[in-house]
Amino acid sequence: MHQDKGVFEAELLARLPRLRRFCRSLAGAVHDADDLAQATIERLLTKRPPADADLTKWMFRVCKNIWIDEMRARKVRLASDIDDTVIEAPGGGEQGALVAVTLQEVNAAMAKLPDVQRVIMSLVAVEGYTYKETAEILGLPIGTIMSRLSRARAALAEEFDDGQTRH
Amino acid sequence: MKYDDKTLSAYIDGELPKRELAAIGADVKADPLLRARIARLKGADQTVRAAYADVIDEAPPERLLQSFKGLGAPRRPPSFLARATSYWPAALAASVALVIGYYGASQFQAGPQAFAVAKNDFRVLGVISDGHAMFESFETGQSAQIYDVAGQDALKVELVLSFKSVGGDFCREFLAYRSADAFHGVACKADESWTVRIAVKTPAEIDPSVGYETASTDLDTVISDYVARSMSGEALDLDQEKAVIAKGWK
Repeated sequence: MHQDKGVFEAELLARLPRLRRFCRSLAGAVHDADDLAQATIERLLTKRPPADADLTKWMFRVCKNIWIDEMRARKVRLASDIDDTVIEAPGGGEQGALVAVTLQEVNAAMAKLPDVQRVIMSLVAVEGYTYKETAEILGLPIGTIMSRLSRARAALAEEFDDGQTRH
Repeated sequence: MKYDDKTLSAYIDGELPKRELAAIGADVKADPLLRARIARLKGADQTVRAAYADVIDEAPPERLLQSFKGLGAPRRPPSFLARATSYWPAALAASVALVIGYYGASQFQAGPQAFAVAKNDFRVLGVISDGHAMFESFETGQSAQIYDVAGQDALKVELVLSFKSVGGDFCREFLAYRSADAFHGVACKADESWTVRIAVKTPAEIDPSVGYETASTDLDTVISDYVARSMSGEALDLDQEKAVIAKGWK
């Protein structure tokens, strides 16, 4: 089991912002995302990871399992928090296409992705994990990560382009 | 198009063999269609990343913190959670301009925007990886020494002590400060980067001749308590620390 209980709680608390961000990218709506974060915390506090486990990766794995196995099955409401905040992604020119879409549109586009694609997109694009690390977290081959990530990116690019034409 | 999305996606992430990356890079320079496709795929990433970036700075809702309180360890100071909430980096509005670590450590994300300077913003979060202004201090600096952070006006880093954690990682307690703004925290070496495990803003009492002096606040006890709980054995002495630095913290 993962170290001293007090240390473990402090370590988990220090990771709470990243857990909430990951949950938001999966569940979309703030309330649903925090439900997911809460379920993840409670699961981790009840059953701590093995001593040699990387806590952050373990946390994301537990969160992903809860989301796919439980919360999605209960059909959590998506985009229940309407947010019209316009997001202007950094970059532009050769660095990347400058797009302006609303948070609601990002949530909606992410929600259209198959579950595993969405999780992979979150781990790589939002959390910054390498393909190898993502494969470890999800227990999938690297080739699967590569192919599903590229499909997710292409689908999102399409969605955001459509969104831009509406603005 | 010469390359499919799967290959271009891996190219964006730097996840191809060097030779293949170089070959694609040369083709990208010469082919505007390839550049446009890469820009679209990158744009999708950047939009998603930007959409959820602010979550990291939000103060967690009380119900999530209650999850910790409900099962809290009796050894933890009772005020810990409340203070952690009050001093969550999002709530800070210090008048300095630096972001220390932001997104993850991947090659692709270590671009300029990963460490973008924002006025009135001082965050100590995430990962300090090679190329980051503070990386060298963490990697080679000795404890009890104060280092100027290159390219960051008047920002100083003091490594307080080094230790091996109960999880087997090497960690460093640090102070990062400028003027009256200071952060006190702990970062641990994982893979090739330093990950900030915990950090709090703390009032700075800085004497230019001796550097930062602990202001003896309860917040500092949060960090010292964290260090005490995380440490396996004793802190490294200077000779042990030199030896570990020479081995790249392995």
